[in-house]
Amino acid sequence: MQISIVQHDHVTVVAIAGSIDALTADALVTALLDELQAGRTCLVADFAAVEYTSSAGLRVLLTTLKDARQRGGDLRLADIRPNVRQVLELSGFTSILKCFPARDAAIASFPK
Amino acid sequence: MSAATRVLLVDDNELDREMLSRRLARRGFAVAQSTDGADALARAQRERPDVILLDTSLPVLDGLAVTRTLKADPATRTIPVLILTAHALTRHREEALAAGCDEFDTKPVDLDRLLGKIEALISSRVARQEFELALTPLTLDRLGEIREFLARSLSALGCGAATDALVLAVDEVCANLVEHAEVGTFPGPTRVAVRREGMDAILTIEDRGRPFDPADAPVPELSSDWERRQVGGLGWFLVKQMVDELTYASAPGSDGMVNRLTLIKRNVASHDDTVATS
Repeated sequence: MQISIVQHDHVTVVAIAGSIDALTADALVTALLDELQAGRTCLVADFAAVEYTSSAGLRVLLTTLKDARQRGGDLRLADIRPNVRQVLELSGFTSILKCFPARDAAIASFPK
Repeated sequence: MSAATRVLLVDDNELDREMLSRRLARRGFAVAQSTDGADALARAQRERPDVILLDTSLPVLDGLAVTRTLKADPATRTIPVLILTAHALTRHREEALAAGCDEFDTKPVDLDRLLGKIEALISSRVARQEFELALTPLTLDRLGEIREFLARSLSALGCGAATDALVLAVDEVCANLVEHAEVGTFPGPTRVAVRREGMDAILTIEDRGRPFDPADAPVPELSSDWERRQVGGLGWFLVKQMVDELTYASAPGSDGMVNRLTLIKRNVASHDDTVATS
C-alpha cells in the first residue's frame, strides 16, 4: 500500500494505492491521524487506486471519521471501486461516510 | 486412459503383484511396485501417484493403516486409494471404507472391472480438484499471498464470480485467527484449501488454535467501540455476508485441537468462466 498526501487549499487529499488489510492498516491510520493532529481536519480519502479493503480498512475509516468530526472536520471518500464499495455498503459505512464519484467533487463539498 | 497414469501397486505377494503389474503395463499404465506398508507410504508421499492399489495384509504397516495415514495428510489425502484384497466379506469392505479408502475390489482381479474403477477414481479426482496452501506459520505479511493464491485457484476452477467474496472472507478469517493464535502454544491457521463441487465453491480453513466458532460471534454495532479493538466482530459479520453457508467443526488431533471452518459460495460461475466440472 502507498499513501500520498496533497493539500488543496484547506482540504487534504490522501490518495491510497493498493490493499488495505490487517497488515497495512496501521500505516494508514498513522498517516491520517498525523494530518488531524496537525490541524488538517478536512480530509478526502482518494480510493481510486484502492484495490481491496478488509474490515481492517473500515476500522481505519471509522477511527479517522470520529476523530475528524470531533475536531470540527470530516473524512470523505472519493472514486471508490465497485468491489470496495460493496464492502462499505455491506457494513453500513456508506450511510455514515460521504462518498463522491470523483476527487474534485469531494474537495468541492467542503465549504470554503 | 492416459499412458502417463501412474499407479502404485502395493502387494507383498510377488506372484500377484508381478502378474497385475504386467497386465496394467500392457494397458498403458506406468506401474511402480511396493511390497510393504511403510515403503508404500514413503513412495506415495514422495512420488504422489495418480492412484494407489493397496493390499490390506502387508508387512510392517497394514493397508488400512497406510490408508488412514495418507488420508490424514493434506499432502496425500486427494490421491485415490483402491483397496484390493482377497477378503471379500462385507465387514472387510466396511473396514476399508472406514479407514478412508476411495474404492474397494476383491482378488482374484477382474481386470476390466478394476480398470473401470481406476478410471472412475481418476475422473472423480479431476472433478474434485482442490488447491491448497500450507500456512504454518501464518503471519499477517502473508495475507497478500493468500489473496493471490485464492484468486488464482478460483480462476482455475472456473469460479471467477466468487473471487471478491471469498478473498475477503479468507482474509477476515485468517486475520482473526492470527490474532487468536497463541505463539508457542497454538500455531493458528495452518491450511487454506479451495475446491469446486458443481456450482459451489468450497473454501476450507484449518487452524490449531483455540476453538472459536464465528457463527457465535456477535454482530457489532457501529456505535460500539469495536474499531478500537484489533479484532472486531465486523470481520466475521462480513464473512457471513459474503458466503451462503458456514460450518465449523472442532476435534482433537494428534497435535492439539484441529478446527475446521468451511465456507460455501453458491452459483460461482460467472458468464465468461469456463466451467471446470460437469
